[in-house]
Amino acid sequence: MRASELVLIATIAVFAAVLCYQSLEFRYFSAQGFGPGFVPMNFAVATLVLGLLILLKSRGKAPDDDEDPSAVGDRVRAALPAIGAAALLFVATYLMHFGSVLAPLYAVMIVISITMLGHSLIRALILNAITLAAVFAIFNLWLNIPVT
Amino acid sequence: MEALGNLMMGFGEVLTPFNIAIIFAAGLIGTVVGALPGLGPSAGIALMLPLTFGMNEASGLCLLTGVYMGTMYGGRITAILINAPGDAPAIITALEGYPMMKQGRGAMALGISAVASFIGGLFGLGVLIFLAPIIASYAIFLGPPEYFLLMAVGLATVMLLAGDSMLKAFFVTCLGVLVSSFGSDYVSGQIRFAYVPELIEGIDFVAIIIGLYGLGEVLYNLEKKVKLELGKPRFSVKEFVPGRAELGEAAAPTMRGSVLGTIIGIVPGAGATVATFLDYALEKRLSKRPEKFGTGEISGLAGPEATNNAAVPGSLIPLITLGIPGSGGTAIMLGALIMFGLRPGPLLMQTSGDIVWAMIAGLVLANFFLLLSNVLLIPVFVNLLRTIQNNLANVVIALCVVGAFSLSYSAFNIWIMLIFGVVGYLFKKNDYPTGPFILAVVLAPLAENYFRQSVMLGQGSAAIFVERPISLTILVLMILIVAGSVFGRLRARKLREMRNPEE
Repeated sequence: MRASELVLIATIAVFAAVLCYQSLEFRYFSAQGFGPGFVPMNFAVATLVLGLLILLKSRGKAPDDDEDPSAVGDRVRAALPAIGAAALLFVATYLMHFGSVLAPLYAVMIVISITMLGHSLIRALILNAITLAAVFAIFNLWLNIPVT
Repeated sequence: MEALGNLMMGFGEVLTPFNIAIIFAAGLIGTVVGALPGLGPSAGIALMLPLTFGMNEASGLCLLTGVYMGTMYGGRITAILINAPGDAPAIITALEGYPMMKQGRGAMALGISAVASFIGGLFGLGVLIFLAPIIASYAIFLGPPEYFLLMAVGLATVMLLAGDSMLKAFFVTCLGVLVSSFGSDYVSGQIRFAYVPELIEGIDFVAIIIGLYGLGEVLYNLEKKVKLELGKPRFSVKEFVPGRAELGEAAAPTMRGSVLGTIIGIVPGAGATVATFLDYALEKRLSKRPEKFGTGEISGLAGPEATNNAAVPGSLIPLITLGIPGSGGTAIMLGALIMFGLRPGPLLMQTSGDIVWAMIAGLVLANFFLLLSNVLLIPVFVNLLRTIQNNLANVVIALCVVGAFSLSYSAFNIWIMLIFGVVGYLFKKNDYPTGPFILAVVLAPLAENYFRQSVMLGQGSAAIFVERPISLTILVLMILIVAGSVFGRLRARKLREMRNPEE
């Protein structure tokens, strides 16, 4: 099993376990029928069981080429652009709480342009300014959605 | 014949230069709004509502229904070109359209989907014109048990969207149900898992689909260093006008999709999303090469596209004849009808028949305009994509972020979009199917409410599902779908084992 799949299953399992525990606060069944705890409780348990089954099934399977533990460094390096872009977007979204949506977004787009798409600084500045100007024109000026 | 006479009367009202210009503009605006991630029919109609304040009833309603129809055409554009569905029904379009785009057949996918959308819309309108009152009179016999089973049939299609691993499909389906359980529980009135006030209304599934498909795809492409090679902008009619072979392949799925979309569209609450998923499952089941689904199959694209657009006139039937809005878009239409002083319900056709028939005539006209404008606009959209292909990742990121922001004018939905962007990336990287997940997110809240209401109606007993003839019929249908899927999978596995005994 790949490390990324393990991360995915573990994260979902934690999420399901938290909801399972918190669904105890809601009524499961009453004289009239099922309560609000019925669906989250059952499906959280089902998620945990299915996650476990996937793990068990993968243990009995021969590893693929891209699951070779010795190549884990290469695979992490290959995933860096995706991890980096996601991290940049999380930071930018945090900065959006200070008022502007487009300014942090512009900064992220420039970094992605230069480091991942191979654009020069001037090209990145111009291309992304045009992109955001078009987005601003459509959403803010035409549709009156307050994107600033 | 009376219906035709009424329709002619409607055309008499609509065919003025002002109304024709309005319908044309509404279709175009709807197409562009529908193409933007985050903005669907509800947003399109809501945004255009203030423009109708100074208009007469017929013109105002033509504008709104034209936008509604246009958004259904537009939703497919970004789904095909950048794998970012504008709304939930376009998710299925992305499943087949985007692989076609990656094979350099994006323009053809847009052409086929435009034609299928037109036929679906026209079929739905035909039913609306001739059979609306009759069909609507039957829809009132459906209660929570039937609605629950209809949703369950939709969920049963998970089996057909599962891909290679049923275990992974069930795993993501359960996750989808859990994600959908956030927010207000409409049966008991309690609020579940609202860690922040924004979660009281639950997680907006449009933010989820923008992240899962749009951002997830960008992150995956950045890792795999996928670069589009679409060439320089050019114009070639052959590129986007479907030929005889493509039309032949699309014909039967389009007709099936039209019928299914209209029927499901009529059922209040089911709507175009359920209809497209069901039709996709149906096409996959009927296909001679189901293994090709997900790689750019024309039948998997044409059928759901026709379904999607047939559901629009279908959903107007209960609205006009019973006053029941079947979807978010028709709920806003209901508000618009009331705003114009009309009373949607059984008497609407008698008291305000002239306005209703003018609106229907406007829809017929909009459907023709939309086919024309959408086919003519294909080179514009495809060449726009060719122009931006070197910066496509950033364009999609910008549209995803701003589209998510526009859902509630706050950063909250951007966080949701980002989280599901990462989930979408991990799903894709590890071959987890996204279809069952999103199907569960969309259908589970409805299914849960109807299920619990049904059990309450049955005073704690589930026997209510087999005691009512319509629900029993749907139950049998669902069992057949599940049994057929299981049997088909077992048979395929047996055949594989016979061919490769050492496996």
